Amino acid sequence: MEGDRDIQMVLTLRQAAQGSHEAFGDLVRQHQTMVFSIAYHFLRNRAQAEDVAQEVFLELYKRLNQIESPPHLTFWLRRVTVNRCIDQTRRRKPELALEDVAEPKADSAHGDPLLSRHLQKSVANLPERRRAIIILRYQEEMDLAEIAEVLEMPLNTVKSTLQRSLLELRKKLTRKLGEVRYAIF
Amino acid sequence: MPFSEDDLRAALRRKEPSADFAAKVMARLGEQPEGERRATPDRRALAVLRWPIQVRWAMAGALAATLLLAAGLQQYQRRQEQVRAERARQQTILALQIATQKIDHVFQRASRTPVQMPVNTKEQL
Repeated sequence: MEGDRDIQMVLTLRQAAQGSHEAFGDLVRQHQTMVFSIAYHFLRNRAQAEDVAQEVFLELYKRLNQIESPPHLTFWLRRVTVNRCIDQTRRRKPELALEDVAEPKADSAHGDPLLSRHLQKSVANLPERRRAIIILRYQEEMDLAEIAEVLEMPLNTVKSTLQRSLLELRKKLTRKLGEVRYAIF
Repeated sequence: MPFSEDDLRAALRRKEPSADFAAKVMARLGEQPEGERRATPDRRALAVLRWPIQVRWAMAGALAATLLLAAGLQQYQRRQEQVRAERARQQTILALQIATQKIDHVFQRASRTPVQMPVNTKEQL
């Protein structure tokens, strides 16, 4: 079953590289959630994340002939998305996103919504490289060697940066939730 | 406040883009001029066929001239090496001839000069 899907992916990739718009549309649909989610957690702005994700796929269309295999495609999409997000962060001035004003719906099926929201905000406020490491590690479940490859960083730097980032998140969260409790009681 | 790695995973779980995301990408793709959309090697190679005939002949001529020049240069370098090797061989032969003459000369002088025997001190006494 898994093998069939891999073969199908290879075929779709080949057809898209040969100019089939239908096959390219399939590639977009298969990877849109991954690309959009990286951009969304990085930028914490739905509209900007969609815009970046669209640009990533337009770039992919130009470079389809350089993509060697489905795993290479995933690797390429992750790398380009992170790089585009970093560029976007450097270009834009911070603006108030709808997501920062209110959480439209709290999804109780995935843990504590208050904690999740604070975690998302804290991650989005980390420096770019640290943010990218956290997102790739916990959203994409990538191992540290893969992250090092995508971000073109030494493995030991990725390890130490991840540890430092987690520590910083814990400190920030302790402070933030402490303030919330103080305001309530 | 402590949080677990699972809390982070839950906070950073994947999110769906808008329902018409793929359609928007395809629409933006349609808006781009064909030339800007993609530059695959196949199409670049085919672009040669669209060049005017004079340009194609000029390119072919330039390519042939370059190849001839490269072959000529290689031949010239090979010839220069042969000349250098021949010169080195001649110099070695000359050096050997000179050395032989010198040795002959030394032998001749040595054979003409009488050998002086050492004086026997006992006989003198």
